[in-house]
Amino acid sequence: MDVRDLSDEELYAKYGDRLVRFAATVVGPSLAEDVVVDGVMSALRSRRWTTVDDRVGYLYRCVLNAGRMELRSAARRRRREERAGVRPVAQAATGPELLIAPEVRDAIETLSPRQRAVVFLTYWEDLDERAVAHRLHISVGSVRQHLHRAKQKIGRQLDASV
Amino acid sequence: MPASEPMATDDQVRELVWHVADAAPIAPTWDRIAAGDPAPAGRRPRRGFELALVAAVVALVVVGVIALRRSGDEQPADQPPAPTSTVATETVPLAGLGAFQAVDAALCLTRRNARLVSEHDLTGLVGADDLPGFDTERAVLFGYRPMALVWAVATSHPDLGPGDADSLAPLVDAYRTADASAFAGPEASIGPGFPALVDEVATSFGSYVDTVVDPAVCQPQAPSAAAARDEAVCIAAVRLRRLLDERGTTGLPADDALIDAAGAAFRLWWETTPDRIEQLASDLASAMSAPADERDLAPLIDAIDADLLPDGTCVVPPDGQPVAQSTGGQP
Repeated sequence: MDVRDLSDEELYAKYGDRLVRFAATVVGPSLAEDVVVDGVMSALRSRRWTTVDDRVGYLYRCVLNAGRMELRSAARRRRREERAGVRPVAQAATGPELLIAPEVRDAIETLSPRQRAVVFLTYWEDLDERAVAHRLHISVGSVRQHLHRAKQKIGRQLDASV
Repeated sequence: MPASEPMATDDQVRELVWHVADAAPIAPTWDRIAAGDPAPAGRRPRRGFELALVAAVVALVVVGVIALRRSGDEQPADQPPAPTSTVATETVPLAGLGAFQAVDAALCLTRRNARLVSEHDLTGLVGADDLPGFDTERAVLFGYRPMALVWAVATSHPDLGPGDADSLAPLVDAYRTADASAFAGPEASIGPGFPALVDEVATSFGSYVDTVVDPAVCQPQAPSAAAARDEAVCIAAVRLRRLLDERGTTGLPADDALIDAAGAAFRLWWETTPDRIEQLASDLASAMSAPADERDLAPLIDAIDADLLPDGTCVVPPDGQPVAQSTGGQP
């Protein structure tokens, strides 16, 4: 059945699992669930949702934006705490984060949200550059650039951890 | 890039991504989404609304201050009226502050990237999650008028991005109140009216460039003329890249607005890296001379990306110093 013929619920049933993995790559497993709910809801509430051509891409972008918001809020919170002289709590892995090896977590954390999105779509979903660009609504050149920088950052991080 | 730069292999990255993706929890149920309750207990609801309210109040205060200042500035009767360009440049920084507050709040509120302001445009300048060291307060000082304009225009269009256009209306109105002249041209719309948007942006963009490159004008808002120029260079690069990208992908013919925007960007770049700019200008001219259906702007866009956003940190350097390649901008 064509994606366009699916109801919202059917669409979510088909892509929900991928979206939550996508979100886990962008914000980490512990926040992934909330970010997916936020992102999918913002898509469904959008006036454009009923007319959008690429509903799957739209969902991914909404989840990515929800993830970026979440990370941005966390950064603001950190800055406020630093300004207030609050000693940062040691970043201990909790819950689902425990499933991730520390060196992997460190490597992912060096990437920007968009770079995380690009590497997920490239290496987990096995999309080519053009498909990634289409899904994230960016140019193919940007995809290449994000991928290149992501590899550089991960390479540096892995190199440093050896 | 030095040859010894470590670079992860495809297999390494794949393994890493799979490791993280496999640690993901089970997808939330459809019932939870359908129930319309995205906020878990204890999380502050409607934060966006609060931000919007604060932004609107700030914008109103700024407008009030502007009005008071203007009423206090009595011009002697024998003085000739100020030239048009001076009037224009005076409105830019004043309008910029309120508008930027609105933009910042709007960005927080909507959780989205409108098509025209995705990637590095506003998310980079305001949110800075890709740009370590970016300081929003400093950005407010600069008054990113063209960015604010693009954002306000984009958010006022119902077909862009997921959601929340209604809640943005007060912010857009605040911007319009602060600088009505910015919207004097045809109302922007995407699709059939896209050229009008480009005209609008290019005009605004040109005014902004004129303002920033004039040290006498930019001094009160910016720490230094050189730093302001660096900011403008990056903005110019981003704006031009976006314009070229839009035109290249939509196949619309080049027009004067695009050329003007490109010219403004190039004039700025000329001050920093003349040799490179000469090459880019030549490439642009030759790309634009081709028939519309044969025009290929992708290499030029890639070149601009590669030159001016080399590592995603050039828009605002962490220490506030000019970017490394901007050696000629210092007065």
